[in-house]
Amino acid sequence: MTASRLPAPAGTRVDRSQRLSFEFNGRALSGHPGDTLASALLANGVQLVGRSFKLHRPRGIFSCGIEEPTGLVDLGQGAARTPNMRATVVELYDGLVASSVNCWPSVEFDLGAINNRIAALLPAGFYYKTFKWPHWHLFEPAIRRMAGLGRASGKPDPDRYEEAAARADVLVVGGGVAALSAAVSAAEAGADTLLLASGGTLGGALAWRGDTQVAELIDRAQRSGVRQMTRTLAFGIYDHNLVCARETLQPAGAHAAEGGVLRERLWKIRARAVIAAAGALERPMLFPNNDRPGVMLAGAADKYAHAFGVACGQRVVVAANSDSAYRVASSLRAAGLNVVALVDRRPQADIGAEAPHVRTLVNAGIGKVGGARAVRSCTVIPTDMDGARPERLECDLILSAGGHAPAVHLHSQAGGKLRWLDESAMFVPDGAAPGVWSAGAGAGIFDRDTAVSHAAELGRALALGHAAPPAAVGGAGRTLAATHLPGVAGKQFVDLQNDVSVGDVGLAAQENYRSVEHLKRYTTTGMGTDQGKTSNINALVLMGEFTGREPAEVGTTKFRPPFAPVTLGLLAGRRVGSLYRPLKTLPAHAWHEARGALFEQFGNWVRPAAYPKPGETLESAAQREAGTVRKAAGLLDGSPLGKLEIYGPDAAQFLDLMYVGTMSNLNPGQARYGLLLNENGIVVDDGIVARLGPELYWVNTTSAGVERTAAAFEEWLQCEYTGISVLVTPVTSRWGNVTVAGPRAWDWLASAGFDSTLAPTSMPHMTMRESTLDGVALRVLRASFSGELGYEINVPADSVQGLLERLWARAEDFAGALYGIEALEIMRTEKGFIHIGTDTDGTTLPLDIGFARNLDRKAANFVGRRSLLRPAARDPNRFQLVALIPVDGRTPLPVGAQIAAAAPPTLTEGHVTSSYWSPELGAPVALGMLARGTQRLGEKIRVHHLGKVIDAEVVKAPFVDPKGDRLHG
Amino acid sequence: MDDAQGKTTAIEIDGLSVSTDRDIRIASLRYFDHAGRFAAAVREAVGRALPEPLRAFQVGSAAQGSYVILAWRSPTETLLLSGDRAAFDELERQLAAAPDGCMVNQTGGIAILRVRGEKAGDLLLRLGAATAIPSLGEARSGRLAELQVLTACLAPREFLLLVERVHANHLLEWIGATAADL
Repeated sequence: MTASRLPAPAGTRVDRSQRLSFEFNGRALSGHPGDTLASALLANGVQLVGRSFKLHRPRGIFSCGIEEPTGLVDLGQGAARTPNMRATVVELYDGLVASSVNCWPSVEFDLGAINNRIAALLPAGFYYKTFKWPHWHLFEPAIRRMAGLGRASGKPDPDRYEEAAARADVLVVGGGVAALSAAVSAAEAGADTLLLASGGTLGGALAWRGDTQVAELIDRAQRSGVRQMTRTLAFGIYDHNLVCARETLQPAGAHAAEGGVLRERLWKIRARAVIAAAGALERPMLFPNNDRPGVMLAGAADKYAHAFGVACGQRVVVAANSDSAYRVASSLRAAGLNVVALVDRRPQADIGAEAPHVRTLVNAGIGKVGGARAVRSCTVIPTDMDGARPERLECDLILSAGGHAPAVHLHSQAGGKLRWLDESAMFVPDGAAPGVWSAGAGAGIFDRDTAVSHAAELGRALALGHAAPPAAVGGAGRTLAATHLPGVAGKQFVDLQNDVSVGDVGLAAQENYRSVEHLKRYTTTGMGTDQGKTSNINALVLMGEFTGREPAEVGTTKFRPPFAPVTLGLLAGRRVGSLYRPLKTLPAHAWHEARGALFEQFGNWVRPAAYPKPGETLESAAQREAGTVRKAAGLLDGSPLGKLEIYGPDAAQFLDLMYVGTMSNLNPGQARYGLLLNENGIVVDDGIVARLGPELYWVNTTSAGVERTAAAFEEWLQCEYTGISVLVTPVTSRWGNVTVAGPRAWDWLASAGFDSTLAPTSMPHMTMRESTLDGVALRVLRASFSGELGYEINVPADSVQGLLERLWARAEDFAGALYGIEALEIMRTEKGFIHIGTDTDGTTLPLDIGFARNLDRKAANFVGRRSLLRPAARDPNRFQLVALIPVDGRTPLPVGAQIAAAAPPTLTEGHVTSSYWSPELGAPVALGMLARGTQRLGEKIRVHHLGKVIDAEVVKAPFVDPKGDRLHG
Repeated sequence: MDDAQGKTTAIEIDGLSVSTDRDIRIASLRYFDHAGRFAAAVREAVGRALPEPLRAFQVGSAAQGSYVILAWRSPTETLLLSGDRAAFDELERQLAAAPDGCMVNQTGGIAILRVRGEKAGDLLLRLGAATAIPSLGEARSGRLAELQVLTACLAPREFLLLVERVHANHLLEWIGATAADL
């Protein structure tokens, strides 16, 4: 292929008065504004662009748009490098740097090309069959290294991405005349209309051909208020007409400014009606070595000639099975290219008048392509027994014109059906999809005038809420469904990106694959960055041939978003770094920070794990803090504790229904532990319920469980217990929580001025009092997760820091210390208190954690009760919560370690759920779930962890203060 | 920068100002019936009936500090904002005895961000769904910056963003990053 620039008027899209410098594989080249990277490479005579995925065959530019399967490059350098960009859609800019993918040491000399020599050993599914013994994982690293085409930079992306939302009455997807016509009509009928076009210009093929109708439509679009967004690709449609689109703000790989640039914007657009007018994609022909650089789609060569002024070759052969090839041949000839011949696979062609000066060979195909890295010649062979002799044609460009496939992706993603149009060998939309109507070539309407008038009618109808007009499908001419050439040497590629050949499809059929979805997975056809835009239809037609079925019977694979590759950065948007996910911070975060808190994430909260002193680790600090609480007193910021107010005349009844415990018989001021189940009886949360008044309850949930508890309450109220009058108000953010625990807790509080009615002598364990301190309202709960005398002081969030400061100022007097969540975990494990989500999982029933008595005592109904009556729920062999200690008294039992009599692999008998070194006992303690656990008290068990075995014993919990004397003060 | 009315300006760029209102008292008005006895008590105390669905309004003058904002949040909840602490406390006292509903003090639990300026609309479009952005006189709940936010529009090009206090920093940081690219 010898490419060159054609003289004007060819090249309507490029500005020849300016030059842009760029670099490809280290070679300095130049192009013009308006060029794509592909057109500029072609204009510079670059034929070999990259290497193929599996066989490392040489590949060049194959198309002129989004469907490009082979012209992939890595764009940019350093952290800004973006892999696998299609050169056909990369707009050229000054300083662009690109390199070939999937080759080493160079695209010209690629060691991976050895694969092509041993291609016979690498048929479809070869690695499913070959790399099974002795273990797939032995081969996996090497195979993964070989896969993947381009390489990501491996460095943090310096650029930024954002999201934006939009609404429209009518959203038109596409930039061609049909799309413009629909948008103009919709807007002129009064609809708020938004037009998305993936390219930088509007008008499609007619625009670069200089058609005046385009300018007129663009002018009308502006006057009628059509909002136009170019460089914006609609890549997916989701529920309720949510269309997602990528707006390109800065070219990928562009030299990043300090701190990066805002590179892409993800649009989320809600539209009442969507018109899909994304045109059609050309299909290639099947012939041996149809992947050589110098073989490309016919329409692409036409566009390169007219839009970019690039002659992709000097001597052109067109391989065809469709009428459209004749128009292209004629068009190229008019542009000044030498069209040597048009080789038509069909028995007869009666439209030769469209290309009167082109030599036409019918009933013929290309049996051989000469040249290794570029096209040098081709050999035409007859496809019937009576045909002429093979004929060698000197050429440097072979165009492939296998008909068209409407871009039905949005229609299909929206749930629209397709039908096979035999005359033109294509799938077209079968009516509209919910909320999505097709127009133009995307609807299968290839006649220009018909497409424009249909689109206009459609736009107007949807704007006014009228019935959509029917689509007059047709105009694409006659096309023969893809057929391969049997009995000729050389691979005939169906999917150029994934190196899937006709033989691979045949092999799949031979191995009894019938579903087109299975064909896709087995052969990999239709995967990768192009998602089979040039290969899918040919593959399924071939599948039909091999299995004796019509294309309509074979069907298509599911069209899934995205329509074209999108960057991970686009999907992440602002969710990077500290914005990766919303984290909750304590009202007194800075105060803790100033006191040396070591923060960790617990659930979605950032909270102090401990307050290490110089020389202390997290673990040693937690040990010290737990010890201090046991001996004196400690101060904990418990603000994350979930808090709900439950109000209403039926609040008591409702809480009885929600919790395993009975809450209706609580008097105001009393509190009770509650276990929350789902309808399957699974433990999902726990907490303390306190009655504040006849119709008002205070509910403490776990820190991580408040949202799901509130949601569960609302669901039951709104969906099941609709006759119950209850209001659930989350107040976790409103109320902070300062917890003081330890034998000297009350002394500490009393010294800080707390009301004497809160003293342990007048306020028993599990009671709640409303109080004030210097005018600040408090809700004080006597409860304890540490097992010591404990006060959980709920205080308005904006007063938390003041209360902490007030108490901390007196800490020394009581040998008090701040303690973090790690110390609390140690102490609750010593007490054998469960931590939901740590000691329980998605299978745990209340019976498994020792709540049989509570269940038996409660006569009233509650959520999950019925599930607990199933025999399986009372199976004594279930995993049950137990306390564990190592037999040697010093080896900690690792959390997650499995309990089993024999070394793995074997059936597990349970696992360790919580494990700490007890500062109180000076020995490790643990909790675990063990089959028949409650019946195995005193039994020796074996704990397995990463090949190590630890002998342990099932013991009775709690480890500390078994009678609860400390708890009750 | 703090001003006399308790506002801290967090972000200030051409065409956009984002400030936090620290001194506003806020409460959830919870009720079973939008036209019931609790609603009647609110009407008597505030001088206007509870807002209709998706509506918000202000009673009184912000300049004088004695104003109340009511913003519809759900069929059983309206958020009440007041710049006057004494008036708020008096309201709390009046409604404490009202049947069929309750006033839950949320002061300090819900943060208030005031977004104003010509670019305010553009900013909100970049934080979440278009359906979460209210027109004048509206209050809409929706997901902004991955958070549940109630957004009310009481004046042209001015929005109040009501978000749980624990998430206010996240929202502000997201707004800051977005505003830098406006």
